[in-house]
Amino acid sequence: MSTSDSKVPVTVVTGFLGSGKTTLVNYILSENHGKRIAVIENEFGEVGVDDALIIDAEEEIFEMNNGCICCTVRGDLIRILGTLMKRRDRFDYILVETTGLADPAPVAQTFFVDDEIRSQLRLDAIVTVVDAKHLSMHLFEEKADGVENEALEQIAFADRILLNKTDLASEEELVEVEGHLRSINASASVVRTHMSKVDLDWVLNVGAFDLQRVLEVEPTFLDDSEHVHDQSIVSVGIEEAGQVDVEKINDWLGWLLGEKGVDIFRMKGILNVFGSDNRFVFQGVHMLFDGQPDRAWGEKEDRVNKMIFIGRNLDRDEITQRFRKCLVR
Amino acid sequence: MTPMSVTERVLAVLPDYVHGVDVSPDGRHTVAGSVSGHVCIADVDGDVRMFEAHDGDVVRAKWSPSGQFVASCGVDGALRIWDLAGSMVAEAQHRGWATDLAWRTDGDEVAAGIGRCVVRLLANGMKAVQHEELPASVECVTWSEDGRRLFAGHYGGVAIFQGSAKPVKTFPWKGAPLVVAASSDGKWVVTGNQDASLHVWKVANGSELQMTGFSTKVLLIAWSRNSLRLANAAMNEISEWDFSGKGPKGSKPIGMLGHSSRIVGLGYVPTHPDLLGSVATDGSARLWRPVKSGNSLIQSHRTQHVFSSMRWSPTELRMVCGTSTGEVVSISFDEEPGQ
Repeated sequence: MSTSDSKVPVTVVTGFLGSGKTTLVNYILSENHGKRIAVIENEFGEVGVDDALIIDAEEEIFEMNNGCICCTVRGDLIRILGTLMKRRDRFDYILVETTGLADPAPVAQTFFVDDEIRSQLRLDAIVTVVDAKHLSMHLFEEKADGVENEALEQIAFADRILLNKTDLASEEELVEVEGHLRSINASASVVRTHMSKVDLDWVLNVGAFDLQRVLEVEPTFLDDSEHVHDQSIVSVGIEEAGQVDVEKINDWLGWLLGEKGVDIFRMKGILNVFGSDNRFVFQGVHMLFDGQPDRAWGEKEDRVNKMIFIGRNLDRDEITQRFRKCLVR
Repeated sequence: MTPMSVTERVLAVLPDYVHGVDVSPDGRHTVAGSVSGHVCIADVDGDVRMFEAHDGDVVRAKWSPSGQFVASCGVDGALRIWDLAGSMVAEAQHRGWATDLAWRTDGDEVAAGIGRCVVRLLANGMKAVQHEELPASVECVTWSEDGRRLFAGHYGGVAIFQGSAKPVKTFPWKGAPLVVAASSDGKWVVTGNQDASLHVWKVANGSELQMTGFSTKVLLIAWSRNSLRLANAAMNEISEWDFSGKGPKGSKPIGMLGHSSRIVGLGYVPTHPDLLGSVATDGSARLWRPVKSGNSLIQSHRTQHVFSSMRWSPTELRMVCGTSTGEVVSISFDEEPGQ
């Protein structure tokens, strides 16, 4: 999942119908001068800018026989992106706009599972647009058993969240919604927007899947007491001083991916490994895990293990206690 | 390795990446399609005709068995038949992208996967049977050698069509086939898949087997003329499977390594049925005689091109390759390898 300059960055824009996704895409296209952008959209929007190529796609999910959730990819994206990358006049940037009901996991996994795409493109970030006024309604909508709440999942997967249509909500409502967003996804940065207007540097070339930039945004953890509502998707953050034993931490990660991989949407972390002066960084989507030794710890830097897991039905205590057993005493 | 002289020649240059190449049955002409939307017909004397065939990428371009026509399909959802002068003689359209096309081996009829449909077209301009839409986009199509069956691979399995609008049978399988090939004896149908596997069905009873463990998805498969061997490529590795007797169940393939990057063309040599050829994006072209132990490599040739596709001439030991920058390159292996 490492980045390389020759790879074309891809930003995935998700969000519920009416949240302002298409407005954001239009805004990026109109504000951005000099870049050749291709947009793959799954809904008929009113996008239309001269220099951009707009391709309509029909969501087609390929679920593999082995049943592994991380092998589920988007067939339509493989087809379209594969063709786009063969052109001589390659695009500088690709935006993928999903439908309001799309599950972000197969979209993200396509960039890591398909070898042709992985070699030429890099997933830059998942940007989720939420409607400040109507978010709570979507979040706490009762779903039948086994039916996913896509609004929750889109927030859980996000690296950047646009809290949009702020003009329609009161300050109290906005603060409340921001609290919900943080409790679901403590590692995404949230910005308030009107008409999806946002600094382009904040949504493009974010490098959210770049190991070197793991946890660039410090997660903001909430106390458990701040959880106003019951919700199935939460962020579990671990921040512990001390050094971890390599073998034990490998076992712990194996347990985590094997037992909880289906439920963990995103994970990121920095580890202080016993016997090494370098940070060990990792990140993952479901069972797709990527980790490597990083730069050396700074002299004045606190050598602290920091991790965040965003997922469904995660037992904070179980994960934390098992992690503590990996520390070298 | 037997010394051979290798001759390389650029036959034509298209504006951009060449998706597919094919050689006419008489070996004299080459057709190539480009992501620029152009199709080009080049003959061995250096005569080149290039025309705009599709709005957007040409996905495939292939000769009819009679040698009188070429068919092309593209991301514009069109399937078109052209004569050798580049005039369109027939056309069909469906919603979606075209992904693959195949000529019926016994006549001037072509089938293409466009969107969720298999579209069939006759060179006389008449539309053949209109098939019903399948549950997912068609990724690949092929005919049985006798022209009776048409196989269409799609997410969820392989549909088998005969004369009617509905498939007569489907081989269900929860996976995504990307390429499909039927053995010429009609016994087997094989798909190369997104999940880095091969899936094999016995046509007679639908019994199946699966080969897994490839390093990437499988985009290239090729049957030997006698249906006894099947080769496939994934990334830079070629495997050959023994289909003689009861088939490859439980057997190990012959592995052929040597290309240093992704293999993009693979095929048995029509004039030398025991030989297999391959080309890769590293510019290498290789000729193999697969053997269980020892070195299968017969000849390796290095070029400056980033290859994108390859077909053998039906009449001589000569391959025609497309490149990622638009060239159509002919590579002749002049000396016959010692037997």
